[in-house]
Amino acid sequence: MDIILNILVCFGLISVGLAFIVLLPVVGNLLVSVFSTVYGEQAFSRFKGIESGSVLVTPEAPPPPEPKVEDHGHQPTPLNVYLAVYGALLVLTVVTVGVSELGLIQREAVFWAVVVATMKGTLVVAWFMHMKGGPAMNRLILGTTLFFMLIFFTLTMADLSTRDTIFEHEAHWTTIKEAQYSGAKPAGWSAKGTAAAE
Amino acid sequence: MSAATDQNQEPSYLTASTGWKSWLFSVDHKRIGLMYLVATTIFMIAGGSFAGIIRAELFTAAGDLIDADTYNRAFTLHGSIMVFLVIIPATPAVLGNFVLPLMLGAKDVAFPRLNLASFHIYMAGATLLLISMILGSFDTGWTFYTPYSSTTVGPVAWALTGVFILGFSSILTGLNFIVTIHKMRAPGMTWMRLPLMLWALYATSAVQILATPVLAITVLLLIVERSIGIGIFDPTLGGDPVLFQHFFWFYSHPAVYIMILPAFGIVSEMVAVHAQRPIFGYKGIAFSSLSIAIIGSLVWGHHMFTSGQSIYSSVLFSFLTFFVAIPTAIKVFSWVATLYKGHVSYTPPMMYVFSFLALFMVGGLTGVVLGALSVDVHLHDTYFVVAHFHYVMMGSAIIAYIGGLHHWWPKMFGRMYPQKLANVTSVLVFISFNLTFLPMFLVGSRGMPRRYYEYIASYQTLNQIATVGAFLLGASLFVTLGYLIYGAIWGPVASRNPWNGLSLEWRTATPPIEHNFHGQPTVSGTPYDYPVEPGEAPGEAVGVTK
Amino acid sequence: MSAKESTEERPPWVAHFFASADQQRSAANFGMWLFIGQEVLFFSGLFMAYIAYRWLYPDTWLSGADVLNKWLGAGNTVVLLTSSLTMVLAVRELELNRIKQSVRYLWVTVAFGFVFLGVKAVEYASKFELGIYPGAHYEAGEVEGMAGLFFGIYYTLTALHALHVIIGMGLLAWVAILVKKEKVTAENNSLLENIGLYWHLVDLVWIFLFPMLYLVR
Repeated sequence: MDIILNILVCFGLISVGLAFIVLLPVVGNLLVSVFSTVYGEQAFSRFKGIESGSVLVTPEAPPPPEPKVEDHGHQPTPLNVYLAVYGALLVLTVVTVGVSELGLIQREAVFWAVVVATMKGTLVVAWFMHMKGGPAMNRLILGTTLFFMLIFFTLTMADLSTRDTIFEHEAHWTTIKEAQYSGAKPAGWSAKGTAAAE
Repeated sequence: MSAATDQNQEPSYLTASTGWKSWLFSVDHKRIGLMYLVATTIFMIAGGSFAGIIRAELFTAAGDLIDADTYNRAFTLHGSIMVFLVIIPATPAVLGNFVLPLMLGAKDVAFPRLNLASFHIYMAGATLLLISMILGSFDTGWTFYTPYSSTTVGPVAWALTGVFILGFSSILTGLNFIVTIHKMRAPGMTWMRLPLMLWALYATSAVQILATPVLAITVLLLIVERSIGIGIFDPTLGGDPVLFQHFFWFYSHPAVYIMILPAFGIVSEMVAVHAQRPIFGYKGIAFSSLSIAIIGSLVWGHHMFTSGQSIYSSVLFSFLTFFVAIPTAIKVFSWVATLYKGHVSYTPPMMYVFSFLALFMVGGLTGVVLGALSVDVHLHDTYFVVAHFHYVMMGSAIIAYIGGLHHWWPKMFGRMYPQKLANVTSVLVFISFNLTFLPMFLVGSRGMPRRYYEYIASYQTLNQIATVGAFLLGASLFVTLGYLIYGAIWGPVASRNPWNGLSLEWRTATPPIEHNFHGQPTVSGTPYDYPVEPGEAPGEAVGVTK
Repeated sequence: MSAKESTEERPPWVAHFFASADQQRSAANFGMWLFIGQEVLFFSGLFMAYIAYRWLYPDTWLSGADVLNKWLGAGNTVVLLTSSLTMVLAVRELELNRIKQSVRYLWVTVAFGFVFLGVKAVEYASKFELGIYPGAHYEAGEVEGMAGLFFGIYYTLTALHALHVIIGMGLLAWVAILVKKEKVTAENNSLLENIGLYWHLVDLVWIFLFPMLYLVR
């Protein structure tokens, strides 16, 4: 069962990866248009009047788009939001300790522990680290980081979890080969494949 | 723009301030780049000396020059110095530091003091490696495989700490570059108008940030294992030595892409400029850099096919390895297509482009050969692998780096080196490189193992050719260093834009003033807007104003 | 508020190579997130080792986790979560230009760091008494299987985390002094925000560490 799960996960990863790479031109075009709208116009609007006397002809910049981002010094998050997040974190801590007292089997226990920890982590990242309402690039950075981490874990575990698998299969192949060499049929072997041995 | 306007009463960055403190504590990215240049050149000579020792020993089949232990130390140091102190920093830290803000139209990188810190961290790491050499050196191979590296006696911990520290230098440089490229582009420079060198540096920096921390933890765990013995790589305590290899190669495979991606960027620049043609397939080259960075992080297991790894995951890694060839091929085809109907001038940088294309074809294709699981089982740890990675690391990455030095040397020093001598030497480098490493494919496929100080007599002739080639290569590289230094100090004053490049670094003074530009340059075309009609005079690009 | 963008007047704390204060601040924030990404991958190596060996020796993990005191661990979790709250409040106070409160919250955060380290010290001491040393030095008999390995990973993970806590506390103390001296102000608060991000990362790592090590069952 483990192997099949591993293989599924790996192929899932590969297809995601390949899709990304293959679609990169399309995705790329999308990224390009996003970046040039966000950065191009903001960059224009910022470079007015840096040094006096410079020979610039800065084209008339379109009015800068509504800055969704750097609002930091101007509207701090209300206190209630932070307290609510803190409260949720405490509740989730109680939940995670409680779940460990339930006596679940390993697989379920791990699953729920990871789920709850991820929820807590998301709360911290989104509100305490201002990911929510922050620049989209930060999400890309964290997402890429987590993607790499996942690849590291999955492909390494693909090795560790399938090391012994060949021994399960080896018996099967050895039996077939012995039959082909000696002409004897192993138990349960059908006549179809052994024409050469006959 | 005439020279008179450039000497706007502002001195160049080389003479803006004097005294050793103004260099050692300079936050000017150009000066930091030069300091890296001096350091990497010295380390390359050191690493090359160890290569000389190796090749001298391998001139004869018997182990008669040095004993086995010394030989092991020699190849370990050759590998460690070349990988960690030369190739990984060379293009990003030397050329990247110098050229990146200039190409972007910025006055410096985003975090200049961090940049200086990166340099000093690099020197600190190098010092620790040097100390481990003085203390008797280590013989684990640059790959530090357990359980030998976790149990052997010797100054391994010094070297490991040095590597740990060097990792931080790499990470901080990458961080700096990514933020600079995102935030400090000139007005009008959209992502699709970025010079391809910067796309390459961007992909490199992303890999540096993502992969190097895993090296840091690997090295840290090895140090802890050696000192306390937590058992993480020790089979008697339940650990798995092959896990170390997973950890190590999860960094070290992307590391080789850190080495080669900036080289690709240099080649893109040189090909367009020295053929005076718009680059073919800009988007293909730009996005393939990102693709290579991503796919290259999925394939590390192909270094471990014979290490006891599960055969199923070996099959998986082999399958994934083949995909790296696709974006790489896109680049090579694009460069060659750029040359078509171009106004190719046989300048030294162009000669290095030709060398690169030939040598990278060999190196890259033999990489695909080694990626095939069934073949690699026989070729692993033979000289075939040694030849492959020297073709890509030295024959491609370093050749492109040297070509890039030739390309930007007049910009860096304001003086030109003797070009005819440079052309001749580049041919010598190419020939001697092939003399050295081509025989290694042959002996390797016939079974000569690597990291052995003696071998059977039937391999001797080819090894002797390789040794002769190696010393010729060393000599040619010394000649290169010689004329470059000569050119920097006593060469004829170079014009502002000797190759007629169109990117922003060629629009400012040669050598640049301390703050790079007098005003804020703006951009409304790509850096490859060369006219395509053969009859037209190659001229100013459309729409680039100073 | 966007009209107040300092493109017209340029505050003195903006470096000459940046075009505006906004550019400097967004560059600093971006750089810090990249650094955080890097730290996550640094810890991921140890998490990888944990996953690998837990998969290989599930029984050792079960009995090893029983030795660990999950109530102390839970207590430490609450301590770090609270310190994250005070950290984010410190940033908020500075945004509202209330310097004294901001400094106070910063020192409270440092105090919570001390509490965390104290609890960790108690835990370590109680283990050393039982002879639970990492790896080859493991002397106790309480855990079956590859106990040395489990505790080796436990000590390495928690020690590395504690090291990051210590570094964080140093940074917090430093920035508290800078805020008091008004070198870090409501407009020029990048340094405080970034150190805050670092502290939250330390908390984040513990959020995953705690269930993985202590709550195995």
